[in-house]
Amino acid sequence: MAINLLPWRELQMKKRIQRYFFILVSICFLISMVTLILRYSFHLTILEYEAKNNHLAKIIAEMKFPVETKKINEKFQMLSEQTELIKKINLSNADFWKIFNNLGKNLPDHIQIKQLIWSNLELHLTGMTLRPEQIADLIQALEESSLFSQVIMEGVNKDDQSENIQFSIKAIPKV
Amino acid sequence: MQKNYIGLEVFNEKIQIAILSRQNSQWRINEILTILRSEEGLEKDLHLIRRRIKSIKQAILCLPEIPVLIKEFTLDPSLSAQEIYHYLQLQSAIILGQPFDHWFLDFEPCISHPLLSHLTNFRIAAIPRESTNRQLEICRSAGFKIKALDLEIFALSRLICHFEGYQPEMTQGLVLIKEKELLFLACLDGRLIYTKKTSYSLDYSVSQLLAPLIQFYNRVFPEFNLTQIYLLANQKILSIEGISIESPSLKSSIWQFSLSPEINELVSLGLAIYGY
Repeated sequence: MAINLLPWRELQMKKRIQRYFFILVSICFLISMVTLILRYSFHLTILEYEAKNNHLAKIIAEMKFPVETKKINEKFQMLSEQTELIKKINLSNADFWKIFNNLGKNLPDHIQIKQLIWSNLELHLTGMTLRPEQIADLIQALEESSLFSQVIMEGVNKDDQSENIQFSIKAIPKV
Repeated sequence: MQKNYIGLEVFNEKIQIAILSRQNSQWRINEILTILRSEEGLEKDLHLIRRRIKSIKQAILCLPEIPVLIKEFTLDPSLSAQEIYHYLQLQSAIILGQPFDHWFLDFEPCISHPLLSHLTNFRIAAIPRESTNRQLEICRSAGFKIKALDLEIFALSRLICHFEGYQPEMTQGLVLIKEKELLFLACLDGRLIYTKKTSYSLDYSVSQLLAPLIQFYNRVFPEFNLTQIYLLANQKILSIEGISIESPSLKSSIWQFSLSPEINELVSLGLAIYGY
């Protein structure tokens, strides 16, 4: 190449630098555009899935599943109540024998127990005595025992011929 | 429309212009002008030329009056042109004695000395930026599109290949004797090997000046000894010297003559054929 003293090399270098910066800016622009496009496509995909989900939710809501679910739920609740009851019954049977043993130990003298009914987790006790203070002793003994939460006198009746006092007590055990 | 090739030399006192065209791989000299510069300034003169020759568009410019610095330096051949340019930017103050911004410069690989064959020799030409820029701006504002800024020595070494009797693969010498200075060139295949410019006074004869130059050259480049020497001088100088030789003529196979150029106009011809 013949010598040329015009500053063509300087111009060439400036052009090269310009080209370099142009390429750099173009690459940055391209990268940002690709990123934007990707983000937009992701956004669209998410929107599409959301729309699908909403559509499915709508279809599910419109279908009869909830009714059946409600029935299943009711049945389940019933079953769980029954299970709970069975558990309580099992528990109450064990308690009855504990109470029965305890009653035998704490029963005051001169009191005759005629009937002992254990139903609905309640103890119905019917008996007779000659002395009314012994009924009070029995109630006190039952209340003081750790087995009952509440002891209620249900009725008292005096037989004039035999002078026996008949009584009935309801005791609710502690759960 | 035929394309014109224009060589433009701007001196302090005159403007020389050669307009060539190319036909069937032959150069045709369309016009050679020497215009003395007026007091109105270079721009006016150039405008006049533009008005006279309207086909002028691109030109190869040479500013012979502006001092030129030519140096050779050796570098690793693996360096690219860009790397060399960077190197010059950094080392300009050391290599050229002035910071990089002071110069318009260019470089080319040149023939290396055999001892330094593992390295590549580069020739750097530098011209002061400020004065050159001023002239360039004037030329441009006058409507000239400057394709290249060339030097006299390169134009002449390019022209040697087109001389009658030119022998390729032989080292040619060229001596241009002007009124005040003498220019010596040694070229191989149109590539400059060595150049020397000395001031010239009539106290010394041309042969007295030439003999030591040629001896020095042959000693430095024994492998490129001169086989031919072209002597370019105007008739006035030759008559003072008492030398009677014919000036070299251009090869008729390459040039189609309608005008025969003077010795002083050869540089502008060399400029016009820049790139060929």
